Amino acid sequence: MSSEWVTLCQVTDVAREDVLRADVGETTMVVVHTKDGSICVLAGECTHGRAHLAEGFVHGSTIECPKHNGRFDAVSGAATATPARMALEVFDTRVVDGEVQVRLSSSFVTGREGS
Amino acid sequence: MIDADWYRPQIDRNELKALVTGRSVLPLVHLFVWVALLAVSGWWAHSAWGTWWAVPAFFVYGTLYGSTSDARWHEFGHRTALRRAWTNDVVYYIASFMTFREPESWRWSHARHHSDTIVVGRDPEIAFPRPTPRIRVFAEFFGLLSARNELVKIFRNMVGRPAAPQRNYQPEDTLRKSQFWSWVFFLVLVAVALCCIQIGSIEPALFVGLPSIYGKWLLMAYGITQHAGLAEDEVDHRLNTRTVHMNFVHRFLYLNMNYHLEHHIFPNVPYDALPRLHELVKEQLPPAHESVRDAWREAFRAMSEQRRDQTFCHSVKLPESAA
Repeated sequence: MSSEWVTLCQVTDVAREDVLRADVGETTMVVVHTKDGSICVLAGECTHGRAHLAEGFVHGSTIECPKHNGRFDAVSGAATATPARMALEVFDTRVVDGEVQVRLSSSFVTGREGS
Repeated sequence: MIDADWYRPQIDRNELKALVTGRSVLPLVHLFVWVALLAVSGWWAHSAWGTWWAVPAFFVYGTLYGSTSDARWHEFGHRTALRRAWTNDVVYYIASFMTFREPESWRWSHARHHSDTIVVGRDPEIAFPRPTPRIRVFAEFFGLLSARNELVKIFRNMVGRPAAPQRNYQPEDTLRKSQFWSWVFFLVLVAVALCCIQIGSIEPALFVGLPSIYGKWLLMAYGITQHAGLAEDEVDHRLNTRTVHMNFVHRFLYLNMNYHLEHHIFPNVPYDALPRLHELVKEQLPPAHESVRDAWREAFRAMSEQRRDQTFCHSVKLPESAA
């Protein structure tokens, strides 16, 4: 399936050890800027309950859910602390000229534009 | 109701982030002082064994063991007290034994308590279901009901047959961990009992095991202030949770859980940052109770009324600016 890169935000929009919400169509994501400077894009909702991780907090390279303190590794998406147990989806991400871009399938992007 | 949108006061993101991610050495200091107090009071109790001084000594030791372990269980269970998750977990498991709560099931129970605070049929930690008989409140000052219920839960876990309520809030694939910890608890208690028989004295059990019962009174005194007599089935913590002012001794023993309303709204904020959080959001919350006695008066009055009218609850006046 073909895909294309979609710009979500500027790197400078997300402080170190912080998180920003990014929505594309009906997909809600979070852009995580880790302590060591990595930029990661993950699914935005906690896999335990409906809480948006953009309201959570970043500790090093871990993102913590604001509702129950469940934790995820921002790089792999793996759940690292209960009550979170299922991994978050991690999107292919790149930074080009200071822009955070995420790879989404073309059908999704086309569908979004057509909707 | 895990999906419900609960009320959140306005707070600057950067200020909240600073409270959550800023670290102080206070939790380590508090932990050290608490362990030291347990050790000193335990030494006093052992030294006084056989004299009447053993009574006040075990009273102090038992209260530290049976009551204040609850606050450690709670804070370290949220993994917000110390930086590393595993260090929080070590304290959590020890405090779980001291307060006599099987650690795995209580993790899930407490997550549900935060999802569905005082929602009947969902929250497994409603301490005072309506109507609460006086005898139940009295018995809980000695931890009698909670100890009996936990013993039953532990025995059921040991044989791999957890009761339906536990299965309701705990994922199936974590029940094996509950089984493991139930056996650990059981074997430790059996070892203590054998030790008592061996030396012909109840003293070992007064140090390990029984304080979870005879030292429970202060936990009850604090616990009543949290939710008792307030609204059920609301998605606004201001209507079902209290904040109570306490002096610094009580705040140390209780690890700032007197800021219970702030804790429920922002569970990521470490306990040592709760006084600062309170200052930031207090205008948007109901006024804090001035004392434990003040909160007790309200809670007991409401519970008394609920014995006549189960629908009664103390109605909280919300600040007009944030209603």
